[in-house]
Formats: sequence, C-alpha cells, structure tokens
Amino acid sequence: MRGVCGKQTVDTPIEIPNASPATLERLAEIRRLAEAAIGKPALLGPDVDITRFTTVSERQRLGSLASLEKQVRETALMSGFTADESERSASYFQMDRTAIYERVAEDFGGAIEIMGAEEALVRYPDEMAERFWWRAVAPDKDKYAALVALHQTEGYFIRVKAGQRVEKPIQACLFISESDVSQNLHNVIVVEDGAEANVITGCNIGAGVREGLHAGISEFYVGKNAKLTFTMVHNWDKEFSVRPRTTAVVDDDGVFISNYVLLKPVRSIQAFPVARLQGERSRALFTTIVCGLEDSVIDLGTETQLIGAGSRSEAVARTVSRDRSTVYSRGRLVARTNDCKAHLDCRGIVQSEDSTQWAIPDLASEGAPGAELSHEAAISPIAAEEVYYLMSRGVPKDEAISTITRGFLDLEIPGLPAALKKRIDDAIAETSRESM
Amino acid sequence: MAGTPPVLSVEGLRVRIGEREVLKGIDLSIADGETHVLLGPNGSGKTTLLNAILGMPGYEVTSGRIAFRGVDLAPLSIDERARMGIGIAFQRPPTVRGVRLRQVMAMAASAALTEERLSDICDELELAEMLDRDVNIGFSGGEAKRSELGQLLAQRAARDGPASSSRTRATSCGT
Repeated sequence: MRGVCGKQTVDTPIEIPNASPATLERLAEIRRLAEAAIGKPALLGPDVDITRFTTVSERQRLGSLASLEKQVRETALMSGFTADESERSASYFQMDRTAIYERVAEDFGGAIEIMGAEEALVRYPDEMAERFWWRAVAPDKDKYAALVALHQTEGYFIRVKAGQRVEKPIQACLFISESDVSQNLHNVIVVEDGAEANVITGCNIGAGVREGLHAGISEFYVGKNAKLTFTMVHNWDKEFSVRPRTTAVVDDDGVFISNYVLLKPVRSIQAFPVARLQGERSRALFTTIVCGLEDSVIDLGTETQLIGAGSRSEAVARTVSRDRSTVYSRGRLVARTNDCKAHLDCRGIVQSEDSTQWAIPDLASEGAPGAELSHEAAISPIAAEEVYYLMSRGVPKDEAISTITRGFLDLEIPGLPAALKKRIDDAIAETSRESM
Repeated sequence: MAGTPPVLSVEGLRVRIGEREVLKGIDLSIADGETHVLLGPNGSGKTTLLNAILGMPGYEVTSGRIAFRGVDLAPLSIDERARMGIGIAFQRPPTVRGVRLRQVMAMAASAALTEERLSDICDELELAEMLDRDVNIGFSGGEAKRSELGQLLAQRAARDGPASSSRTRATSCGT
C-alpha cells in the first residue's frame, strides 16, 4: 500500500478494535490534520526531503537480549542500554520498525507497563485517544510530525502506575539497522500521580548504515506530585537526519528532568523540546551537552511554558563546536503566570575557525508582570588565564585545554546511572582530546 | 650562605610589558632554605618579576638571565618550569568552571599524591570540604589562599615523591 508520503509503505492504522466512535473520529481527525501538513516545512533546521526514504523493515522478536548480535549490543551500550538487566526495572528494544523485546522485571510487575505504542493503542484506545495520543504534540506541527502521524513505525508506551517509585532505570533502545530509510516513532511516557521513574533512551544506528531519517514524536505526561527523569543519548552518523518533536506536560507539584547528550557527528538535527508546566508548583530542569563535529548542523533548544502558579524551571546547555559544524543553541522561556521563575544558562566554546555557533536566549512574559525570567548566554574561547593557571601547576598546555574542555562539558546530570555516566565521561574525554 | 649555589638566580633582568620596560636590570639570588620578601610600592615590578620567572606570556625578557638550579629558564614553558620546582600562589587566581580542586591537586602532583598525602594536606589546610568544588568558584579570600597553598604542596609531592611529608615548606613565590 503506497503511503501518502513518497516511498513509505506503512500507513498508521485508524481502525482499532474496541475503539469508541469518538476515538475513531479522533484518529480520523489526526489523519486529516497530518495529510494537510505533510508538505509543511519546519520553522527551524535544514529541510529534509522525506519522500526519499522508504519505511524501515519488520524484524523478528527476541526471547532475550542475549540474542542480540554482539555488535548491536555493544552499540546500544554506548547509549546506556545494557543487555544485563539486573539493574533495570524494564526494557524496550526496537529494531527498525519492530518492538523486538520488551520486559518488566519481576519485582516491578504491576508497577510498570511497557509495550509498543501500537499495542497500547489497541489495548487502551479510548484512554489513549482522549488523554495521551497527539494531545501534547500537534500532528500538523510540521511535515515530520505529519510523517509520524501518517506512517508510524512503532515507538514505545511506558506507564508507571500511581504511587510507584521505581528506583532502577527503565531503558529503551531505538535502533536503525538499514540505510535510506525513515524510522517514524511515536513514544508516550505516562508517570501517574505520585509515581517516580528514570527513563534512559538511546538512539543508535548499526555499523555501515548510511543515510536515513529518524522522525520521533515523544509525549510525556507527568502527574500530580510525580517525577520523570528522562535521559537521551544520541549516537547518529554524519549522513543521518534527525527530527524529534517532544512535549512534556507537568501537573501540580510534578517534576520533569530532561538530560540530552550528543557527542557524535550527524548530518542535521533539529529539536526544540517543550516542558508545559501547567500544574501549580510544577518544575522542569533541562541539561544539554552537545559537541558539534565534522559537518554537523545542529539546531537544538528547549522551551519552558510557565503556566501554573509557582512553576519553576532551569535550562543549562554546554556546547563545543569544532571542525566545520554549525550549532544553534536556543532556549525559550514563556511566562503565563505572575508567580514563576526560570533561568537559562547557555554557554559555548568555538574551537575551529570553520565552525559557527549561535546562542539564542528568548524570554517572553505574556501578561505576567510578576514573572522572573533570566538568562546567561556566552560564547567565548577557553580563557587563556585558565590554561596558564593549570600550566603553572605543571600541566602541559594540551592537557590543560583538554581538562578545561572536559570540565566545561561535564554537567552533573541528576539520576544518571553510574555506567552511563562513565560512558558519557569517556566520550567527553575522547572529544576533548580530539579537539587538540 | 657563602659557597652554596643559588636555587634561583636572576641576573641583569630587563622585562618589558608591551612597550613599557618595567624591570630595568634586576639581580636576585636565592639559596636553598632561604626566604626572601620583596617589598615595594604599587607598580614597582614585584608581580612582573614573579610572572617573568614563571614564564607567563606578555612578560618579555629583553635581556638578562633567569636560572633555576643552574638551568637557564629562557627556552622553557610555564609547565616545564613548574615541573622543575617553581610554584606560585596567585593573589587572585582565576576560576576554572567544571574542574575540581581535587583534580588540580592530582594533576599538580603528577600521580604522586597518595590518599594519605592528600589527607595530610587537607588536614593541615582545612581543604577537605573544598576538594569537590570547582576551583576558585565561590571561594572566599581565605579559602582561595588555602587552595593555592594546597596546590603548591601537591606540586611539591611530584618532586619529593609520595613518601615525603607534606609539612615540608615548598620553595615558592607568592603574590
């Protein structure tokens, strides 16, 4: 069946058993909106010709993660996904368009649900349509959202039940093993009232994979007095285009913590995740670590909408650009209540005369004269006096520069498992060494 | 002390900063075990002399010689001079975001800083609670001074080896 978009061969189903008429109508409306927007370019980032890519393929399910090919296991590990599930509460592994593995550890049965998003739609059609499906992100936002709406290739659904505080991380891996395809994911995470979860998601491509597109919709719903820590590590390739669209909706006293790490080259990535702090005393913390390498075009930002009284937010970004990379580092704060406070801290280092970096803070008070919004944005070279200071302690110049660069990128990411922190530290150290 | 070769020897030193000659022929000889105090009004060149000894960029030696343990320092970089045994406690040290005091001390000691030695230094200078803070960020004046001395003692460990006591006074310059 030929899709609306170019070579796509999968259509997102709108006929779901047991769905109410209202749900079916809602799904049809989503499709109409997406069809109208399939040619709508995104406001930011280079345009990608989405008609060039075919749909990712179906894969065989696995009985255990030990069955993964060694190379796949090792690649996944680089983004925090481990085949050893002893320190994981739940796992989800998607290869191309198939959820090949999902499991909830026995200790957490009843506390966590994890499955492919399509299965969640079949199981809970009315609840999904009413509360979680395209409610935070619009299907006509741009052509990449429309692509996912029309030709979805899975994604995960994770729900942590009310009152459950899950200490061990939930891990997910989204893997592409073939070239010239687009993987069009729709992920949903629900952390119910009083629950707490730490989700680590890694996006990877297999060895030898060339050009492709990863378009992803992620909708996060953080309930009252709930907490979601979401860490994403991106490992792409210099021929890959990446267009994630993410919104987290946070209820009263809810907390959303988002950590993002990109230390590998990419053709282009454009993402501007949103935290909608609609609850009273809701909070968001964004931490972003980016290294622009080779010819990467990176356009990343975070937006916080402060709507509920007492909402608070902080966004910290550290960016190093070198080679011929172009990096846009954006941060937007929008206040819609007098009782809110938010801060952006965006710093960059440019290490190459052929690289360009933009730091773009953006503050808006919409009828909220009492809102306190602030920002610090800076792009500067490594201060010579810092280098000389370390040299005065006997540290050679190149090691001093590497140490300072590593320190610049080494943000404390709350809730990060030790193994993943070490991987990120190792990657930062390697990046810092290579910058000499 | 007569007959003892100097540790630090400055002969006829002239130093320029930009177009301005600040040091106009300085001679100084410091033997092992000696402590010298430089006194002078603001702008007289005290800091210039120390920065020239350290090899800091911007301080151009136009004539004269600086030698440490008989070795001419002219061709040596800042870090090479530091590894020979020249240390400095800065009056206003720069902040280095993301780099902990513990890291700087470990690098200064060049792998010779045992846990026991570090503990001794921390006890002597009350540094324990500062070790995991970004160096000089938010340090009070007193904390900065103790941090500088701690780094010098760690640097001294690189020369003396891990077995020696941290309580031996380092040959150092202070500003």
